[in-house]
Amino acid sequence: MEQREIARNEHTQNIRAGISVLKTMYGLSIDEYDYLDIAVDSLRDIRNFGTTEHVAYITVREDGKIPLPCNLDIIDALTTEHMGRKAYNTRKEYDVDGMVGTDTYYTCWGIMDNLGHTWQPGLGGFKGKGYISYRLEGRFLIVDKHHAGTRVALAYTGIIVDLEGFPVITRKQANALAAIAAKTLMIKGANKGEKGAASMIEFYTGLAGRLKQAASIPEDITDNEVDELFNAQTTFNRKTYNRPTKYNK
Amino acid sequence: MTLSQMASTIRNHVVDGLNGVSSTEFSIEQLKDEILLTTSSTIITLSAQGLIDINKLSQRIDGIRIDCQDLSANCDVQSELSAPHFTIPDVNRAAREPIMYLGSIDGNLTFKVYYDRHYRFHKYRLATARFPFAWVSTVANADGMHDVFLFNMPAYNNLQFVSIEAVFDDPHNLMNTEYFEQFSDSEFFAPSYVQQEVIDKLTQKYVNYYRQLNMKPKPNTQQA
Repeated sequence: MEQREIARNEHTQNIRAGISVLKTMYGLSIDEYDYLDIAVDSLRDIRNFGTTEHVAYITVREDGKIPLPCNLDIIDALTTEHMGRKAYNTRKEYDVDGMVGTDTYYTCWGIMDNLGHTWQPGLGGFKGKGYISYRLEGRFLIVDKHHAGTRVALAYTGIIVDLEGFPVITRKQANALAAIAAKTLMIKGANKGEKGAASMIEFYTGLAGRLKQAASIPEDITDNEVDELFNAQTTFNRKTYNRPTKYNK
Repeated sequence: MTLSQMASTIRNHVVDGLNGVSSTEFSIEQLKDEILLTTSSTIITLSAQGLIDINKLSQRIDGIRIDCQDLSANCDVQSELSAPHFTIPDVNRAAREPIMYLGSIDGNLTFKVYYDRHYRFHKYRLATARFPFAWVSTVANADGMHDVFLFNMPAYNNLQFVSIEAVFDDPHNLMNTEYFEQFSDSEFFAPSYVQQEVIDKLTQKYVNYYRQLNMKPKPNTQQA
């Protein structure tokens, strides 16, 4: 589902877009850093990240470890650099070697961790000339040590992030984040005794909940996607009268 | 109005109001000091009444030079930790967010501002733990200015100047800082409706005080 979002070009807004919505719609201002923390926390529930296809040319370390790109979603393939340049040259290139060890790299990983994002092995591990076998270990891919010092190509589907590592969001997500920020401001205001703040908490709580739900759904859903949604993955056993509903008897 | 004009207005009101009652002389310098004090308290009062938004009365200082200083305010005890540092006049801590902006002059880099020791928990923030932040000291240093220390700045080590936009406790104090050149003495910092309130308040106070003193009337020296 996520891959198709980019085709509709829905994920076009910077994560800070919610700050301007907050000002325009509700006339409120929030500390930028407070907003970013609230946004990452809320996006963890909202999900619906935008993804795109990347390729990264990464140098294998002496111990056979390959640091993963911090915006990794699904690994598509791990190949030699030569094959990667031929097979994946239309993909967006991501500079992992230049980022590893920098503040940006760790910040990006921190954000992904807090978004509750876990990466998938995908269809990797193909056999054949050019493909390299690997296994996943934390934030590294492990390959045979004879690759040490060489550059390999990692083709992967990655979450679209900005230069700081924050995910790029949709219009509906920006609206939801603004409402969530407004709710937080009202609660803080009420705690400090600000006039009228307490009476608005209920309104913003309801609004934020509704917009949060809406934000986790794409702008429109195609027939194919609806078909996918209804295509429940259930075993034959579960559907048959008087048969056990578990694999073990 | 300028500060001098405000002081003159009050003086004229009081002198006219007390004409024939008292011939007390007023010090314009003392009036100026009182105007500054009264303005701060008036702003707080009007803000509490919901008539003005204190957060809108901010002032900007550009090009504050950063130096490096030990965190300890005690000359005899060093903290062994030096950090990029600069000083500002005290901010108005009654405002919801006394410092609206602290960052590079071009606006590309901003600092999270802490007014208390909560900055110790910055490293546990969800998404911004590695971002730069600033701590504004709660007490004035020997020069009457407040120390501001910057942290988490490895990527911005070359930063030499910062810009700040804040609600200052006594905005006129900016005149006494090294950033004085940026501020003209032509217009008082508070909006005209606050100026009016301050003039009324002080005039009333002076007239009432001197009337209550019940001073002897001046002898009538007019000749028939």
